[in-house]
Amino acid sequence: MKLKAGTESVAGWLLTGSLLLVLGGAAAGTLAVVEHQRPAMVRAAELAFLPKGEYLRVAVLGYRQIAADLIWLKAVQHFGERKQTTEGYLWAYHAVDVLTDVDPKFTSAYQAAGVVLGVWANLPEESIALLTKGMRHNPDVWQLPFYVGYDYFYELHDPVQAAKYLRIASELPGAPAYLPKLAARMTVEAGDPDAALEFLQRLYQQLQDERLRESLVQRMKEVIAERDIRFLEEGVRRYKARYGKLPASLNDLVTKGIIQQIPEEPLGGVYELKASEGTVASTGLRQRLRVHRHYTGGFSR
Amino acid sequence: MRQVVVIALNTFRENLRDKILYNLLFFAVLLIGFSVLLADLTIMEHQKIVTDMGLAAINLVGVIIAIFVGIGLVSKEIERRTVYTIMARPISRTQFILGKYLGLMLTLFVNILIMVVVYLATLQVYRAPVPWALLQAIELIFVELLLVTALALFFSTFSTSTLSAIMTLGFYVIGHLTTDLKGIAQKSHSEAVKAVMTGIYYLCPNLEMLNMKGQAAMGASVPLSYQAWASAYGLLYAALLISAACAVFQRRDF
Amino acid sequence: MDAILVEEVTKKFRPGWPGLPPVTALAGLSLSVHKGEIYGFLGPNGAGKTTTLKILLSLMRATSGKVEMLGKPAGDLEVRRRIGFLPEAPYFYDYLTAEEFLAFYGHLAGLERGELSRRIDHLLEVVGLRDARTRQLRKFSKGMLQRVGLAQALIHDPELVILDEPMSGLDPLGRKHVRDLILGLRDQGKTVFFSTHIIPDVEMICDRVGIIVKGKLMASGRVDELVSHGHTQSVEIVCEGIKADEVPSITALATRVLQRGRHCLVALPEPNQLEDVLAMIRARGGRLVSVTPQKGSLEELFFKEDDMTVSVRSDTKV
Repeated sequence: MKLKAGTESVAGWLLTGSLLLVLGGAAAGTLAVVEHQRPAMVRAAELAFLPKGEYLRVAVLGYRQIAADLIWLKAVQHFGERKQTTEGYLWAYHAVDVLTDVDPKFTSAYQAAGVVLGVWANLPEESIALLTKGMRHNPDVWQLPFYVGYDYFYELHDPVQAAKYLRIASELPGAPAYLPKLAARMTVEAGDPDAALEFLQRLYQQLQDERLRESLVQRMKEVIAERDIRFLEEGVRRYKARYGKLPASLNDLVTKGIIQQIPEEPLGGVYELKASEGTVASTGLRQRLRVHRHYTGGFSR
Repeated sequence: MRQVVVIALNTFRENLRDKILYNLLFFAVLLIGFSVLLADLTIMEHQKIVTDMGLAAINLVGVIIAIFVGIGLVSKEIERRTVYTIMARPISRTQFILGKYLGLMLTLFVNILIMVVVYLATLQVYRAPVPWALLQAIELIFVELLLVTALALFFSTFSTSTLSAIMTLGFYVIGHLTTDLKGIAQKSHSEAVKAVMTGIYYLCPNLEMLNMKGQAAMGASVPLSYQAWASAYGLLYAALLISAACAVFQRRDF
Repeated sequence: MDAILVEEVTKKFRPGWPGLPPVTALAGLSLSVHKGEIYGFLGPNGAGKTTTLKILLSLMRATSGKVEMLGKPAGDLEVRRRIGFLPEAPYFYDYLTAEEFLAFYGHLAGLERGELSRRIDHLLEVVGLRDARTRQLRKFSKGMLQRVGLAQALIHDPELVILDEPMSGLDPLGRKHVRDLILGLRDQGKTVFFSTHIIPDVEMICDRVGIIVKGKLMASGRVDELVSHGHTQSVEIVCEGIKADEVPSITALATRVLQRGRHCLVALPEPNQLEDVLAMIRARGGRLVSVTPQKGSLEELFFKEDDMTVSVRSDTKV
């Protein structure tokens, strides 16, 4: 046997190489199929089957932070899904609850989960539960009570509670200067769309995430629509008081000089007069926000 | 084929006469027993704790055997120079690798079998249900172990035992995280990052696809087609590693 | 057809670190071993003996050159059925018993059950391990391991037996045992190729010798050819019943006279004085025990080629 790096060994390499390529391709292809076939239930359930935080805390030995980080990575993906179900959000909530048991100082997890659950998921109680848990372990972080304030004010329509949390936030180090004034407005002018608008704007400035910000812009537009509707209904009342009957259309308010012009509807719809009841509705706003109907400082749920 | 069987049986015998194996097996039985104790201490969910911990013990001990016996399969033969006398026989290096792999496969199978028997007996004592999903989960654990063994064998054909152990352990951990890495990559705005991450994703073994311990303990089975595809994936990946191991081993000097 | 044919084989090891020069272990080694002979492959430590054996058994690939065994290229699987190999300082599966150990290698060599058990019985008898049959190898002494290793190399009755340092680390009895075994193999018509760095091993039993130094074959041929370079041979006489150091005529001729109890050793520089000295011993009433000619030229060759400046007296025992 002539032991030279000749054609024989080149052929050998080629053969081995192509065998490996074929096997590798087959493995990757199968992985794609498996991934696709993995039932959605199983995928989402990965989070639901997390052990209780108190057990996990012991089980991960000294590696609590990294364990928390890993669970966070999983939870973040569930937050990020475009199409999200309440179930999915609840799983994510469970995950964050567990991971903050493992690492109670993980403040960004409380914050992000708190905002997402409040702003997107319409799960204010879960949001508040996480945020107040965060406050217990991290009493110095002003953002946590600030977000609780949001949940109370906007999602639970409880300006009194909202103001209470804003005041807690305002006393913490690093809290922005506008907080005490905002807290005062919450109580005094509860239900005032302008106060709500300011709160939303402040929150908007706090958040970096574009998609969260989009949601807030949407909320702000809804508040503006609500404010416009209220303005127009006031015009209708004045019209009725002056002429003893309801106007035939909103344009009558302008032609009779009661208002200068009909504001532009920010959501892309138009304002319409419900002639039978004398109320105004927006075609862009699916339902009027309950919070703004409560003129006096009280609340109802 | 005969040569492969001779090597495999000898490897199996070597494993059987290795005290470490018995210690590990003892450890597994202890873990399963411990779950009983733990279950008694908690007020509720006896059955769930016994079910969960048993599956975890089987998986953990299996992985330890796969890694630590796996890395020694070939590197120990080289370090102790026993490979010299074997290679002087009419046996090709590929046959040798295949034999070693099959031998450990047999060892793992017997071990899993023993652990499963103990596990099922424990469940019986606790009158915990034995859903079909549990057996599915165990089958997928076995596939995972075959993959991990192949990883260990592959690394040990070209590096030292210690390095092989570290690398196998590393890939085992990565293998359970790749799905998350891919998820993160999808959110990246950089196309390059996305491409690299997707590349890594398909290159690294995805062991999470073979993991259904959580839902199995709840009795939630997966479709048979999923189980078949997942097993096929694990076995194909193992075959890839074994082929690569043979290719490397074929070309090395002792 | 030669049993082993090595032509112009070089082996360069890739350096452990990029940038370093490669290490040359074999630099154009050529040798041939005829069928039915005992060939001693002699060389100092690090000369390339083990590398050569590894290339023969294709445990290693040569960088260039041609290697054939029993007419087939090295690496041929079928030809390995006809070859037995014992590596240097072997370490075997210590969890096996002697019997299982031999059975394992017999199976690998393709022996059938009936024949295998016959061979195991026979070889355990030959290497004197019949009583250790069911003992685990971890309880074996070094000499026993060497012997069971030899049995392993012979289990399939090979035509060609390759042994790497088969006598190193053995006590004198063990060495004699191995020597007898090797001679017995030649009687059966086998070819034996063994490496060693111990010269007397070679001198006593080898038909031919090859001396490798620094990866090259420096000399090869029959032992008497290699030593017949005009060197005078010294002679050692052992006798009893006489105090030779008290005989001036003997001490005058001898290079050394040692009295050890009843025995007396007389070292002579020239064999042609042997008859005179023997006559003197007999005249004094002494009895001859043994006369040993001391061949030292192999050693001289060995050290000369190795560029070693150590001066070695030809009668030094190694």
